[in-house]
Amino acid sequence: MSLTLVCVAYTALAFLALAMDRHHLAACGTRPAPGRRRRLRLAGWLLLALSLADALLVAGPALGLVSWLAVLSCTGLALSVLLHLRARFWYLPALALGLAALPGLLR
Amino acid sequence: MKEGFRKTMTWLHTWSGLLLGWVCLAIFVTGTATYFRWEITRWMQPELRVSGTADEAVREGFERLQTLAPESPQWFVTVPDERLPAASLLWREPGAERRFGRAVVDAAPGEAKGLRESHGGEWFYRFHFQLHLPHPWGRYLAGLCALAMFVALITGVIAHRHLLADFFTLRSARSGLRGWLDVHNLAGVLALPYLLMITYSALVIFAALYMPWSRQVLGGETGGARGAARPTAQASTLNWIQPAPLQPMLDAVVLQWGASGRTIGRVDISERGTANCKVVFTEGQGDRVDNGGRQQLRFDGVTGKQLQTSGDLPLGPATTTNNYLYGLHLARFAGPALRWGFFLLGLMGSAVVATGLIMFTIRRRNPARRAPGLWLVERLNITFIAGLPLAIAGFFWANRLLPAALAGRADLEVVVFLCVWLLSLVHACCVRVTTGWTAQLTLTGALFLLLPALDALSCPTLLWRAIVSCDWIHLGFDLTVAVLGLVFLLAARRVRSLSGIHSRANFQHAHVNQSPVAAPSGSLAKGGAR
Repeated sequence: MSLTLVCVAYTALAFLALAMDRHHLAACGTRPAPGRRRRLRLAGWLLLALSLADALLVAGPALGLVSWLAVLSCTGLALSVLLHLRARFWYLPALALGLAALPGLLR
Repeated sequence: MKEGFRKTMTWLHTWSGLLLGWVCLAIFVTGTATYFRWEITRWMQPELRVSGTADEAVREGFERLQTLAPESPQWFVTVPDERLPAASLLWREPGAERRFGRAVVDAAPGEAKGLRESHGGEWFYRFHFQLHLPHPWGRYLAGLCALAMFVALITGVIAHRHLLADFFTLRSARSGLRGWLDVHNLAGVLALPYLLMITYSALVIFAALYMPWSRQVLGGETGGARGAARPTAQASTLNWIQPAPLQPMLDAVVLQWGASGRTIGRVDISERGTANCKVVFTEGQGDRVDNGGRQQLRFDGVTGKQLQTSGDLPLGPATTTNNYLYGLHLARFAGPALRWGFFLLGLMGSAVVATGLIMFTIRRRNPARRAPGLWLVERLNITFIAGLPLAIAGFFWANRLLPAALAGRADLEVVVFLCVWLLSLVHACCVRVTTGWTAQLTLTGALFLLLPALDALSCPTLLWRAIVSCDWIHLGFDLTVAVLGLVFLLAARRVRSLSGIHSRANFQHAHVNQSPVAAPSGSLAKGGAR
């Protein structure tokens, strides 16, 4: 299990949350336009796929899949708690973590 | 038709969740603690000094067994890993079928003196599936719970399907029910893969016990070893055949496995004293997910000659699946980070069960028309949600407060655990519900929060040693229980501030003020109340 996996998974879930009316409203003050919603969702799913690929490449199929699911559940919890506590600024850590994951992905 | 189906599923979700929910919660909580089984053992036996390698510990273990149980028909040595680098020894008492002796050996000889007697994390592990009941009944009850939990999970997904749209949403718990429902759904949805895996694999582990005929598929070895201990031939002292010395075999194993980086996981010596004596070295699991298919080296226990390895036989698909599910459930493959992830997931599972139980009572709390049985449900909720952690805290306190040299103190710790739990039930039955919740949650929080202080006062030198040597297992335990204590204190404060909402009038008031998004779950609440 790598830190890169945690970062990418968190950013992916943040994009997926941002594609939802309620959380977009909390973060940006508006509902997302249909095109924007689609792009956000696409970005989220692509990052999710990227995190799965990272997990499988680093730890092999069995352990990789298990750690990917565990990381998704735990980062999802972290994101939800943050959404609840800091409705306005919650996407900032997602951006920071996304940037932090870059060197890990490029290696 | 479709509505009728969902209503049925909601009904099934409510009742399968409630009836065995309390036992499920106990299983979840102790199972979550079991992820840190060795760490808990090390905290509860702080005198254990660990150093050296696996091979040295096995060597020491053999020597110790030779003095402790020279005439035992069966020896087991489970070999240390980095989490508990001290060999644990198990041997069958001569002349008894189901009586075993136990001991722990650390790698540095002579240091184990003054080791306090304690079940440690082993207690949580055993309670998790045996529930402190006589032999097969605990496992049957645990299996029944796993089945109920599995039903509750599947029906829950159907009943709460529309709430998937509210993903990532946690609303303020100002209105009582909504807050609990959000936690229930969020934890349930996020941890769903984990919950399905852990419940299903729980059923599979004891499949041979619940469905004896499954042994035909899984093979006698795996099925038999888990359901019941296999009987072994007993040698009397008259025709005792002296087994061969074990050290040369150990040297051979180290030589063969050392090159490929394999380590020894356990050693079984069976039928000692007979001509059939066998010595089996099994490699450690390492970070492999599946629990089986590990390489074994076998030796003839009388001549000391190496036997043909039979571990290379191809395993059938059923056995392979079984090994993976078993391995997933135990999560021994998990390194520290993933282990914490599993711990968090276990806590989320406990939260799902606990919030479900709480919601059951909130929905039925109607001062004008009290539902029969609600009194008992409220009390049992307190006993299991607040009282069980209290009993666990009492267990840890007993470990530090009972004199280290006291005979039979390991069982006394368990007695303290059970007594505290019983007292919690008595207390819950004697006081008002809110008082019961706040008092027990506050006490639990205080006990957990003060546990590091007690640790520092009761064995300052050992704590100091842990700090100096950066023993993160000892320090991590203290930090974790302190954080848990804070969580319980916060929960107590929350209950106190929410207590005004507990009357039906306030609940309805809050209900009217809900946003439109909340409407479907409101109707669900009424649907579930039937």
